[in-house]
Amino acid sequence: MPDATTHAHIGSYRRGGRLPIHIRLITDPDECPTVDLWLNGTTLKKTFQLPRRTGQNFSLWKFLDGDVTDGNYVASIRYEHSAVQSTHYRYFKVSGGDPRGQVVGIQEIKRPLGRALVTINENGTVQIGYNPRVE
Amino acid sequence: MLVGFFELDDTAFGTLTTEDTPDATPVFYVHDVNEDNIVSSNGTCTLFDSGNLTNSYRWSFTVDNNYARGQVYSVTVRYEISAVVKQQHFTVNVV
Repeated sequence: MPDATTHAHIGSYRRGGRLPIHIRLITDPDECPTVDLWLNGTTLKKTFQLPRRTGQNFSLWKFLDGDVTDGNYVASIRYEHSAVQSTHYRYFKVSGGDPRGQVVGIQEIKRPLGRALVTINENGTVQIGYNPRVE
Repeated sequence: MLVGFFELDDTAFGTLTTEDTPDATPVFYVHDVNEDNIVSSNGTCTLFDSGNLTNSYRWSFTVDNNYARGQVYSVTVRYEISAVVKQQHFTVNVV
């Protein structure tokens, strides 16, 4: 018999932020749950697995990149226990933000043309800017 | 269960999984929670992610000018399994 389906609205998020997906299961699934992010419940935007944390807690702070456009979403969380499928739903909204995410690394370098700053963002974007100044 | 905050002209939607295969495709009714007898919309659910999910359905309706900002609406999804009537309830906020 499948686990009872749960539903929850989990808030609003911006691109470049992280979406918290968490579930604690009563029964140990055959494999880690799979999560699908559906825009308006019609367009599949992302699929990923939810890793195990401790015991039967599965969670992930999923980075919201440029694939996740503005709109209302449902995340379907599916798994099987002894080949019986269970499903849970989480609803959320995405609006605005910067798909590059936060700057997570910065390095100053000196070149004949002047000083430069190299930065790397959460999504891997590398940028270089010459002669940085504070305005 | 609350499924979201929808603006006018948005498509409000929700998803559900039935306990077993229903006798027919589930239908849904939308009520203004402050005026219990008024059905603002109704319709038939559609299959949701049928490639991966079993007995999962999606309901949706356009938040047109029959809806009002600041109001809360109740969506009742109704279906039968072996002739036994089942219902699931959702809440939608229009903002």
